[in-house]
Amino acid sequence: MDQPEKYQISKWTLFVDSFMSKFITVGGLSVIAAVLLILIFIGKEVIPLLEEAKVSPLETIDLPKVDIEHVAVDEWTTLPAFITKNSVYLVNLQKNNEISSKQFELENNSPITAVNYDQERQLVALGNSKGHVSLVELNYSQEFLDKYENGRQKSKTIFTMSQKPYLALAEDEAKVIKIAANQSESTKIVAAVTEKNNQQQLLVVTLKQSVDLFGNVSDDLTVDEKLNFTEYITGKIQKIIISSQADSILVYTDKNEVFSFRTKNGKIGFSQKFEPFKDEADKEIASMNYLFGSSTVIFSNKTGRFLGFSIYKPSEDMPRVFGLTKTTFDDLDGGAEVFSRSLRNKSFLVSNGKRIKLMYSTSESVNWEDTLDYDIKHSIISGKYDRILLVDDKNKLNILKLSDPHPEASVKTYFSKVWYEGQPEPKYLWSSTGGTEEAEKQLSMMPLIFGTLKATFYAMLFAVPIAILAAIYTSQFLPDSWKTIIKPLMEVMASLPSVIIGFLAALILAPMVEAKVPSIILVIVSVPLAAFIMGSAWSYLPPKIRYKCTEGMEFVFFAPILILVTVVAWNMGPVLESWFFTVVDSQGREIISFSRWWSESLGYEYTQKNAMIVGFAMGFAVIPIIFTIAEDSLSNVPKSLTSASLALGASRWQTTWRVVIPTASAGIFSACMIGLGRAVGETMIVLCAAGGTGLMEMNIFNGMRTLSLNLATELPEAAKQGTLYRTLFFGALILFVLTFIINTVAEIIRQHIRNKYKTV
Amino acid sequence: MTDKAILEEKIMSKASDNDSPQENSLINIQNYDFFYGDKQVLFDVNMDIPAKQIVSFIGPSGCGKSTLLRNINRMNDLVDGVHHNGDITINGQSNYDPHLDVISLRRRVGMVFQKSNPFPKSIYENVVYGLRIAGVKNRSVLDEAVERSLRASFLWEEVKDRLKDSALGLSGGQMQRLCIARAIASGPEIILMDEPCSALDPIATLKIEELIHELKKNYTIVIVTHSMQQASRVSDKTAFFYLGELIEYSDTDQLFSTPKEKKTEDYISGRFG
Repeated sequence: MDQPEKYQISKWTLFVDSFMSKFITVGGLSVIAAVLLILIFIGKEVIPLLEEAKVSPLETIDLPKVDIEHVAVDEWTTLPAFITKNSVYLVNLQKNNEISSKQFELENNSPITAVNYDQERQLVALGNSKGHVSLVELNYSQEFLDKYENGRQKSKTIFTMSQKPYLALAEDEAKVIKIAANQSESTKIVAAVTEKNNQQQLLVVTLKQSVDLFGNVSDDLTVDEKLNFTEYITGKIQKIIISSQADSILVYTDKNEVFSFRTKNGKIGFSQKFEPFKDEADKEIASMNYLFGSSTVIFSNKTGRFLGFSIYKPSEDMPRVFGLTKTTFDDLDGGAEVFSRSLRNKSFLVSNGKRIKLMYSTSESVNWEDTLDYDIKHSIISGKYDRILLVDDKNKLNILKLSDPHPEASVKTYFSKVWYEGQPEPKYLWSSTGGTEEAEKQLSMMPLIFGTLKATFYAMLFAVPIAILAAIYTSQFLPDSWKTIIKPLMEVMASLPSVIIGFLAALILAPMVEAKVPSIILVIVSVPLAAFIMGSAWSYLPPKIRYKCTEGMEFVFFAPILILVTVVAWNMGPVLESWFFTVVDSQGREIISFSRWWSESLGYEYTQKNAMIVGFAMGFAVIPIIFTIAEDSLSNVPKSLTSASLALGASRWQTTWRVVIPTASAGIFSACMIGLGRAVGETMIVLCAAGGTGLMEMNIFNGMRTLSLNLATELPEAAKQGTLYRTLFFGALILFVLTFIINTVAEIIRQHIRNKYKTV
Repeated sequence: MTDKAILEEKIMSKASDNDSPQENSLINIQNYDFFYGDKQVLFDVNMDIPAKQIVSFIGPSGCGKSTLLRNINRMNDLVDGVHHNGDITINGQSNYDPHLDVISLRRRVGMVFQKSNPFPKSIYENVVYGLRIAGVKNRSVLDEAVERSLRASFLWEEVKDRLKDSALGLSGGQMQRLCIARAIASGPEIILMDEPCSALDPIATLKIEELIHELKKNYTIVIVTHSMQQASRVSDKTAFFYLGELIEYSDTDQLFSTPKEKKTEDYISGRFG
C-alpha cells in the first residue's frame, strides 16, 4: 500500500469503476428478468385454457314424489321448476327450499298426455287426450329487495306462468302422444304426434303473433298454417324436436330414420331423410337433441356412439341440409339416456345411469366425466353455465357447481382442422365473434400463424434481394462520396413510422396496384433484365471507353436507361394485359382486367388488400434495416482481403462475389434475420393493408390475418379473463415463441457461418 | 478465352520460357509524379528495374516508396482522387495505355502485402484463387499449380496433408508464404512485395528471405522494406527514397558501402529514419 503517490489510483476512479460495473450488471440482469417476467405473465394468462372443468356437489334436496317430465331453472339457479304432466313444482332455494306448485289448466277435464319443455325459450307445450294443444310460457324475473348482503343488493326471483288457450290440432280427437314446440320472435311452431286406433299422425301448426308498429307483440295467437306431415314418415315416431329459431322440425322413427322439415320462403316443408348410424354396427337411435343455436344435432345409439350432424350447404348451389360432421366424440355406454345442453356454448351433458359426461361439440372433447352414486333421471345446465341440476331416481335434486371457464379451448380447436357449424368441410378458421350469440367460436391459431408467415415471406421476397443488392452495390461499387449520402438516407427511411407506410399502402398503393398488375410484372421482369444486359454490354466495351468513367460512377449512365426502361415497361402494362389477361363476361364481351382474369380464369381470389401490397409495404419498412446492417458488414470486410483479390487480377465483381460476400455472409445473414424478426411482429402495416381475413393460401393476390394484427384488432373486444382474452395471450405467446425460435436458429447459423469465414 | 489458354499453357510448361536471360530493363519509370488529391507524394522519379533481379526500395516512413510500388500494378487506383504525371512501362507497354485492361496488368504483376492476408478459405482455394478468377476449371491444372506454387514457396511439405483446411489455421510466417504462393500460382512476371516481413519473427523472416532468393530465378521482384539489413541481404539493386524523391539508386553493395549522396549515407548510418 505504501506506493508512491503517483502510482496510486484515485479513490474516485475506483469508485466509479466498481459502481459502473455493478450498475451495468444490474441493468443487464434486469433486462433478462423483464423478458422472463413477460413470458411468465403471458404463460400465466394462457395456462387456465388447458384446465379441465371442475364440478363439485353443492346440496341435495328432496323433491315431492311426482313423475317429473322436465326440469327448468332460472338463470341465477334460485328457483328450479319441475314439470309434470299436471303442474309445475317450484323449489325456492332462497327460502329454505320451500316447495310450491302451479297447475296447468285443463280443457274439459281431458288429461294431458304429452308435455315438452324448451329450456332456451322457456316454453312448455302440452297435448291432451283429445288432440288439443296448449303453450305455457314460464317467466322468471328478478325483484330487488331493500336488503344488502356483502355490498350487493339482495334480490328475489319471481316465477310466473302464462298458459295460452287450447287449440284443436287433431280434428279427429286423437290422443297426443308426443309434442314439441318452439318460438321465434313472431312465430310459434307446435308439432305433435297423435294416435288413434294405432294410427299415428304427425301434425304441425304454425302460429303467428301480430307485431304492431312499435314492436309490441300482441297476446293473440292466430293459426297461420296447419300441416299434416304423416305421409312423409315411415315407422313409429320416437321423438320430435324443433329448433330454437322455430324453422326446423326433426323426428326420428323406430326404423332409425330421421326426417327433417325446414322452413323455406316462409313455408315449412319436407327437406331431407337420413339414417344417422347408417355406417355403424348399431343403427338404433337412442337420443336426438339440438345443441345451443340449433345448428347441430347430437345423436347417440345404444352402444354409446355419439355423432354430430350440422346443417350446411354441401356446395354453393345446393340447399342447406344436415350432414355428418362430428364423429370422434367419446362413447357413453347405453347412449344418452338423459341429455341437456348449455345455453352459453356448444357444451352438452349426457348421462346414462350413474355415468355422466360433459362434452364439447367444437373440440369433440370431454370436459368432465364422473360416475355418481345415484341414477340420473333428469339433468339441466343453468343459463349461466355455472350449475348442473340432476334429479335422481329417488326424486332427489342434486345441485352441482360447474366451473368450466374455457370449454372451447383445446389443442384440437387451436391447431387442427375443425368442422365448424355451417361449413361444408373441416377447416382452419378464426372468427372469435360470430354474427349471433349462438355462432360457434372459431379459434384456430393456424390461419394466424400461416398469415404471419405468409406476410413475412412476401415481405422478405421483396426486401431481401433489393436490400442485399443495394448494400453490395453501395459498399463495393459506389464511390465513397456517394456512399456518405446514401447510407444516412436509408437510415432515415428506417425511422419512417410504419403507420404511414401502411396508410399509404392501403389508400394509394392498393387501388393503384389493382389496376396496374401487368405493369408491375413487366417492371419487375424488365428492370433486372435491362440491368443485366447493360452490365454485360459494358464489359464488352474496349477499356479505352470504359476507363473514361471513374470506377463506381457507371450508374450515371445506367440510371437514365433504367428509368426509361421502367417508364416503358409501366406503360406497356396495359398492352400486356390486353394480350393475355382478358376474360369474357356473361354477355360475351371481352373485358381486359388482370384481377378478373386472375379470379375467373385461374380460380384464385383477388382482393385489393393482398399479400403483394403487404410485401411491398412491409418490404419497404424492412429494407432499410437489412440494408444498413448488411452494408456495415460488407464494408467491414478487411481492405487487405479485397486488395489481395484485386492484386491477383480479380474484377470488382469477382472480388465481391468470391471474397467480400463469403466473408460478410454472417453479417448479411443476421441482417436478413433482424429484418425477418421485424416483419414477423409488424402490426401497423398488416393492420392497414392485409385485409385481415384468416385464409390459408399462398395466393399472392389474397389477404391474410397475422398474429399481431389479430391481437391489435381483438384486444379491445376481449373480456378480461375470458376465453378470447386468454386465446389472444396464447397468440402472443406463439408470436413470442416464433420470434424466439427464429432468433435462436438464426444465431446458431450465424455463429456457424462466422466461424467458417472468420478473418485473421 | 485466349488469356486463359495462354495462362494454362504457361503453367503446364512450368514457366520454362522464363529461363531465357533478359538483361535489359523490364520496368521503366519515367518522370513520374504522383498525387493524393492535392498532395504530391512522388516527385519526378526515374528508374529502370531489370528483369530477374531483386530491387529494394528503402527510405523513412512516408517517403513514397510504397506508393511507387503500388503504382506498378496500379493498386492506387482504388484510392479516391489520385492522379499522376509521367509514365511507368512494363516491357515497353505503358501502365496507363488506354487500351490496357488493369485486370490483365495485375495478372502480370503479382503482389504480396505487409500483413499476410489469406482469404478465409482453404489453403488449396487460396492458392488457386488467381487461376479460378481467370476461369481455369481443369482440376489437374489447378492441382499442379498448387503443388508447384507451394513447393516454390517452401510450404508444400508443411501443408500437403491439409490442403483442404482453412488457411487461417497457419502460423504468421506460413500465411505470408501462402500469400507468396498465391501470388506466383497464376504465373506473373513481376512480384511486388510491400514490407513482406515486417510482421514476422526473425526465423520466419529468414525463411521468406531464402524464398525471395529462390524466386529470383523466375521472377522480377520489387521489395519495399524498412530493414536495411534485409535490403542488403536480399536485393541486387537498392533505391533510396526521401520525401518523395528518388535520392539514390544503384547496386546494393555499392549503395551500402559507398553511397554517393549525403542523405543516403545519413540514413544508412542511422542518423535519421
